[in-house]
Amino acid sequence: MNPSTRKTVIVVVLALIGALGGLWTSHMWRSISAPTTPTLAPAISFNGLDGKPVTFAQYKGKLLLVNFWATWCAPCLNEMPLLVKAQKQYGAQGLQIIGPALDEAKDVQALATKLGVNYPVMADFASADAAMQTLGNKQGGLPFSVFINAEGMIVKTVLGELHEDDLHTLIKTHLPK
Amino acid sequence: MKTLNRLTLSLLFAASCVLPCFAIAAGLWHAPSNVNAAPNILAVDEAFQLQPVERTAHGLKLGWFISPGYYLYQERIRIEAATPATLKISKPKLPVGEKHHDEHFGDVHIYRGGRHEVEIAGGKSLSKLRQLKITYQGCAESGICYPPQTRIVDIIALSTAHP
Repeated sequence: MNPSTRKTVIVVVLALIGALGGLWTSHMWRSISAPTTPTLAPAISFNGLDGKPVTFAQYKGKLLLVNFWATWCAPCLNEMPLLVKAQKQYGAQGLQIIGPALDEAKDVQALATKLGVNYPVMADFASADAAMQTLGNKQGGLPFSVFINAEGMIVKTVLGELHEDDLHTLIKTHLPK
Repeated sequence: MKTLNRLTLSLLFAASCVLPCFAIAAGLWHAPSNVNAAPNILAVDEAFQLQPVERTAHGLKLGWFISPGYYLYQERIRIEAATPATLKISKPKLPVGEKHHDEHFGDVHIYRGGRHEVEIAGGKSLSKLRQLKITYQGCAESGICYPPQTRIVDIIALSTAHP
């Protein structure tokens, strides 16, 4: 390969690396950045496993992470240990996770016990499905997570599995000051 | 030749500077204000296109066209008589699924993108059956799962299009 061809190849490779880097950057930006226009969380209520209502409003003043899940959803089960860990680590700093499930109560209870879930979970398929639609998840896919800050504003929604680094970044960014 | 090489190099250098910017801009351009757009998924009826239930000489035939990048769990397919609900139907003959080991669900079978047909044997015993109740559940390979879907589907006349 003559020197000029070699230079050309190097430049082409650099261009491709640059383009891929740009796409990766934009993907990461979309995954973990806060939206430019936070919106007020709607008044939503679920029936808890004990029959008592669980509302977004009762957690005002905390960073509320609403994690929609189901026992038939493998990606949901993948991320649950991370959520348990996050609740333990950041709970004292103002994080509260709740887990409305699109599922049956007995399955939800059994799995929550098995995974040592340390935050409230609910089995209220109809309310959870309707809430996801209201919160912008029109296709109804799971897992779906909504971050609501201490002022009751939706600061981030994530469709798909949360990854540990992104989760920590989002929590640290939006914990009550 | 030297001029051409210089020109080519200059263009490529310019491209190496501009391409990343285009890539970032393309990504952000489609980013909505609140809902994370990545990954984007199809509506469930586009991901799993349930085909009409047809009467055949030997029973019933139905199936799905599954979009590339999506899969259905074989073990979560349920097919029952809907109208009349009391009619007993034979066990559906499902196509051979792809073996898949799931960390949470163990060994399962899945159907990936493409057409997958199910047959229900019965002949005349199914003549009074008007509707089937079909339940299924699947996911996108991008790591998003759809809730179980249930459809009540009319049974159409003997197929002539696909003998």
